Amino acid sequence: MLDIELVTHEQLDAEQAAARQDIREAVVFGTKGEDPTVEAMMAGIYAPSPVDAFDIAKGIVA
Amino acid sequence: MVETPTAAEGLAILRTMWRIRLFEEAVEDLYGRGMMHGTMHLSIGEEAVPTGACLALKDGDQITSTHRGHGHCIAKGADLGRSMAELLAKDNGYCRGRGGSMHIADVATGNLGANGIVGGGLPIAAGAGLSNKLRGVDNVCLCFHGDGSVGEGAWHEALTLASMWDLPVVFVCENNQYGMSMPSKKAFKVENISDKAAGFGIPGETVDGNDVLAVREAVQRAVDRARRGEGPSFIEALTYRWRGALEVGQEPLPHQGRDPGLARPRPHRAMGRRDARHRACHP
Ligand SMILES: Cc1ncc(C[n+]2csc(CCOP(=O)(O)OP(=O)(O)O)c2C)c(N)n1
Ligand SMILES: [Mg+2]
Repeated sequence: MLDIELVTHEQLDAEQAAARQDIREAVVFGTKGEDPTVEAMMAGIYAPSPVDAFDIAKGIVA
Repeated sequence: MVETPTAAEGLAILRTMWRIRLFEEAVEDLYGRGMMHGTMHLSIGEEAVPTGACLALKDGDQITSTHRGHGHCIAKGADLGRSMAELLAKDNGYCRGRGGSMHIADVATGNLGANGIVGGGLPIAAGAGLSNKLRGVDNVCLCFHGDGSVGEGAWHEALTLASMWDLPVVFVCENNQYGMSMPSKKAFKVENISDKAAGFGIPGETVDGNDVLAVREAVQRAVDRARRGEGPSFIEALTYRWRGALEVGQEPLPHQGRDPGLARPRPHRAMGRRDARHRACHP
């Protein structure tokens, strides 16, 4: 693109800088996020148990 | 002849490739410092394949991805923050942190998911193609897969069904020369992996996967064909990964040092290097 003078070095620098800024913002968004709750992590993982085996094992139900 | 992009197109293409490269460099940094868990596969050096391929897609089209799928997600339009959050196992990630790098999905943008199972995306792509066909929509599913998946039963089943039912699927094989430490030259007794497509009655083509415009052109042709209802195509994109097979302390394999166009002063290698204006400058 430089060789055929489609774009200039300055335009390429600006594009690269913009991408770097996008990633910086992504890292901020990602690292600031909350950890999921244990309930959210378990939701939808296992099919419901006909005898509530997990809940019984954990003492959640008698 | 590969069409030259406009300046705006060219810059947008480079922006996507830079986003993929820098996203993965950030991931590598965070992973190396123990801030990311699980395992991580980087596609640094392969950015031109998803970038070029996804340029051929429109809204409503789908992709299936692989264990090395950050580039596929980003090129398909994923939000970078939600992607990073997913890799960091956070609640604001695409799958609320439960998918991570290898199982990130965003159905809203047509990303049907990365896949920890090598070859796992192929039957899903055939299914998406069947769904598109039965619903009477002109959407196409792009199926990214690695050379290592070509020996899987799922690969053969998906190509068989896609061919038999003329499904709108474009199979994009990212041949980065290795499946783990197995050279693809040793794994297959054909000159090109794309030669195998003929056995399924599917047109096959091999392109330079480090040439983003060549990838775009080949995939565009295949996508147009699929939209017209003429069935699947197979494109093998020759590329190379610069990092280890996975980010757990493996050394990268020796490589030829070809850059897909992000290193200067050679960006023309990625774009328009075969076009007439470029030839005029470099007779
Ligand atoms: C069904 C299955 N078998 C084996 C593995 C272990 N495995 C993970 S990556 C990989 C190599 C894949 O090679 P390729 O498809 O060429 O992708 P690349 O890593 O080169 O991008 C293997 C064998 C797996 N994840 N799934
Ligand atoms: Mg490979």
